[in-house]
Amino acid sequence: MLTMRRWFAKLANWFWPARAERDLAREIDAHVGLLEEEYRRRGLSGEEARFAAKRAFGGVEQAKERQREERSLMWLDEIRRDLRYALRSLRRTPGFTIVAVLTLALGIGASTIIFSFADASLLNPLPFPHGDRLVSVNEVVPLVSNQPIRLTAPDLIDYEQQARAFAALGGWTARAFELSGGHESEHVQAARFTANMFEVLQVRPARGRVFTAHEDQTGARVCVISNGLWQRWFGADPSALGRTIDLDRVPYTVIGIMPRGFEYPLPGPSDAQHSDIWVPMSFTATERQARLDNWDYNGVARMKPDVTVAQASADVNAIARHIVSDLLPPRAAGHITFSALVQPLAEQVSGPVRPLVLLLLGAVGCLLLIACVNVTNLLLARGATRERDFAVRVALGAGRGRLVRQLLFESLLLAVVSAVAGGLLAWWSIGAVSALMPARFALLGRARFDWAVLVFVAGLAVVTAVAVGTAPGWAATSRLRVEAIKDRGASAGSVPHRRLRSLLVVAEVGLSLVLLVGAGLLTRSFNDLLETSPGFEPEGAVAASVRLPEEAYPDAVRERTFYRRLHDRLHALSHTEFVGVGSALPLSGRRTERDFTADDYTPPPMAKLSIVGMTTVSGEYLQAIGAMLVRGRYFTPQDGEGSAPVAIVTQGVAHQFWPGESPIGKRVKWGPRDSPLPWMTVVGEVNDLKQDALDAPAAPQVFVPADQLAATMSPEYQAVYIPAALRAMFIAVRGRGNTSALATGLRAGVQQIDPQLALTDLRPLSEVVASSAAPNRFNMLLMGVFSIVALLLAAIGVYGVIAYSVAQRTQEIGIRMALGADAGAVARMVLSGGIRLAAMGIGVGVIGAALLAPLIRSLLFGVRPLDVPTFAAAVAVLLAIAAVASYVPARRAARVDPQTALRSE
Amino acid sequence: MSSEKKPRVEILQGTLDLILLRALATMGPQHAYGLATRLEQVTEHPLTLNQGTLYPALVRLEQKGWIKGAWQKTEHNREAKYYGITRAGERALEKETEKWRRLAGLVDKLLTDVPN
Repeated sequence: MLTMRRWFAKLANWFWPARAERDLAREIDAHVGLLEEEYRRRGLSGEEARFAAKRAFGGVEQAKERQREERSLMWLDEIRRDLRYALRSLRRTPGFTIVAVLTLALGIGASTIIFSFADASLLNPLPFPHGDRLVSVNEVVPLVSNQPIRLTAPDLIDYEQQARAFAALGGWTARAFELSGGHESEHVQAARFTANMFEVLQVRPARGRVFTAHEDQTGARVCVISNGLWQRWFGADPSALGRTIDLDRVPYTVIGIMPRGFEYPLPGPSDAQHSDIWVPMSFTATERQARLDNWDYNGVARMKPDVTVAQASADVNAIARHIVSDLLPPRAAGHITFSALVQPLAEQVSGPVRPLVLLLLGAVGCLLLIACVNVTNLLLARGATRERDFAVRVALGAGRGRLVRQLLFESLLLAVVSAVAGGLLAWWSIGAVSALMPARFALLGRARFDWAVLVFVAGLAVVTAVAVGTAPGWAATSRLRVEAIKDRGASAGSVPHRRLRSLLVVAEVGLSLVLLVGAGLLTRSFNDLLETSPGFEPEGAVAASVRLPEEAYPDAVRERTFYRRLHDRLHALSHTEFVGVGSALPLSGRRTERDFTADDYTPPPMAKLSIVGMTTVSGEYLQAIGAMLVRGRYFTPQDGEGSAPVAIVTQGVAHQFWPGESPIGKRVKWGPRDSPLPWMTVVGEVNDLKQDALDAPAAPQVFVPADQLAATMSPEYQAVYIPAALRAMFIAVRGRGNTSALATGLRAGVQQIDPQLALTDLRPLSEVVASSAAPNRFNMLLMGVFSIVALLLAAIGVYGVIAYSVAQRTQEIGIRMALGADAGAVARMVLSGGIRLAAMGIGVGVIGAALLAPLIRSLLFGVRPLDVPTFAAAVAVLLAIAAVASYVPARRAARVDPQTALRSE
Repeated sequence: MSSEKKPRVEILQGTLDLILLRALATMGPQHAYGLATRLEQVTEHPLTLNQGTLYPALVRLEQKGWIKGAWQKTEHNREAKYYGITRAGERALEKETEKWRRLAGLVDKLLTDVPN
């Protein structure tokens, strides 16, 4: 038990031994002097007295050494010696050292990058205090969707007021604002927060305050802004507090500035997953009454410390049951049912990236293993050449433990240097890789090189050191037992040792095959994805999103006037062919689904409601986005308010309701058969359009003219059936010439009608398609890089083992050749040795890949996990690489000159 | 080498510290040689270990702050490092003595007890 005091004394003595040494020497001198004097007093002569004194004292040096051990930290000295020795021996073989460090640094660097992703997404997705107690509250409404959906305003209010399982329950919904006042106006993403939200997240503003429940309820025009907006809009001026900004042309007072790095909603798949401004939710009267409309409000809650998710869920569901039984509007009562769904928020946030991150973790784990195997192999080869050196040292009295420790120090040194290099690599590249991150993986873009990552790197260094150091250390000692010193030099290939190395190469080839198959499957998926039709012609068209602020466009008439003027203005441009406005753009992920009835279609008994996507269009929107007509016609200007209601369906709808028949002329309507909405006649059928992503199936969709829909519905039904988000519309323009001219025209047209209005996401449709494939491209590239590195390492591994065995067997080969074997036979022997190793590895790898591939099914598109061509190609590539890697040593073997080989003995 | 004929009293690991502390407490400051002589007197034969073996114990005690060394002149005007017990050392001696007594008593009891 060392006290602190002794530790410091020892440490001080270790660092500054000089004074204690001098003191000790002087003390011992004095001691021996006293002894000598004593003996002389007893009558011994000078010489005898000196001798007797020395005998009584004992060995001066031993005494000093033992005192030093007690006084200082001698084991530190030993470590220092071992380190110095390891350093020297690594420096003596720079080639080995460089290859080993590069290999491990690659493995560690890649692992670190991927770990930082995992840290940002799976381990620590919620940057809030006690994030594990945060849950999302959603509803499952079978009538509306199979998927959980968000809450309606009245439901949210009920949960907020009645739930008891939570320390706080709040809600938010994304919205966009036109930001103006003092600067050129811009389009900003914002969020409406109930006052509770800040309590739920447990965040405080860096300056000022957040809004109160009173302000929320009374609709106070106050807002809290992000640090980013504060910098950008106010130049980080502290006097921003209390100033006003115009949001959709209404002045709001800035009351708080959030700390740097605060973000909510957290980055996610869509653009709406970002906010620079937080305003009070301040539900409108309409919102408060819409019990069955606008499932637009995200419920978020912080559970009380002793409450489980199951308890919280039971609590909220009790309220949901009460709503269903007592509070639904009369027309829906008995028809509609729903339940609440409480899930850990972390799971919901990280869900979309989980499969990818797990794949990457697996892949990078393989890569690191391969790197370790390779370095182990190199160390084993190196150990073999040092066998005699070790044997001699053991013979001279070095302990076996000492030798193993030295080997371990070598691997530790290698691992630490590699970890530093790999850490630097990660430090440089995490930012770069994050920047390449497609929007769907925005959560991963938060990855930072922080303390957790640093600790991870340090841990990896230790693990790697043990991983690569154990086998060589074991091999070295086991060989010593066979008394290698008796052997004459070329012993290195002692059998268990050679077998170990071969085994490692087999493992390495197997792991590479697994990675290669993974990369191959993703590449095939990506190719299929590029070849898959989005269902529309993206070339030659641009689209943008626009939101008409409610203040300036309070009613449908004014909105329609705006779009009509825009349409006419753009149409007047010479290069424009088609212009239109629609409520959903393919691949934008935005869609509205409603229940739907086809006249002469009898649903099978017990069928769910038929739900299809509803897209309202005006102008020549379908032509503008390049939807391809299968039969029938597009909408015309005649399909207006006064004329017979019409609809255009996608192939999916036609196939679902009228398989094998033409849909043209069929009657359809929104809502159940007995709904008071008018029947519409199908006048056209278009190709299936991918709404969410290229790799997601196309959802069935029905297009209707916006004007007709509005005209034929009573306000009550409009509230239910017209998409709530209709204020945000997509404008599409198709024309001749290049798309940048179309874009310029569109921007200018909007500006001329409403100079303040902001256009967002203005880009060619081809770019919309490309960005939909971006996540798949990202997956493929990352896996591709990993597998190429793995192949390279496997090649080095095979080459190393084969080349080494050729070098060891030079004499044997010489004898064979002297006895008449020809060069070709020798080369074939070596080559087949390499290929045999590879084949065993491939066998293992194929089994491993076949077991693992199904795990990445969710990341694949159009390819089955056990895709035979992919497996075959991976096997062929690895065989080829093994052949090349063994060919070089085979040629060397064939060139062995028997005479030289025998003489070298 | 007459001492080899007598049974040697091995100084138990750890007891050396106690003995040294005790010697310093009763005799006042001593140098290493003085302590060695004292040990030989007590054990009635030359130290089973060499006198040099005192040094690790001395530096250990000094680092623990239980004794403190200072250079002084001997009565014959030679220089020597004298160790004196400190306050902390006295307290430690008391505690260690108590511990030792308990242990010795226990061992004694175990050795003399006749199991039935």
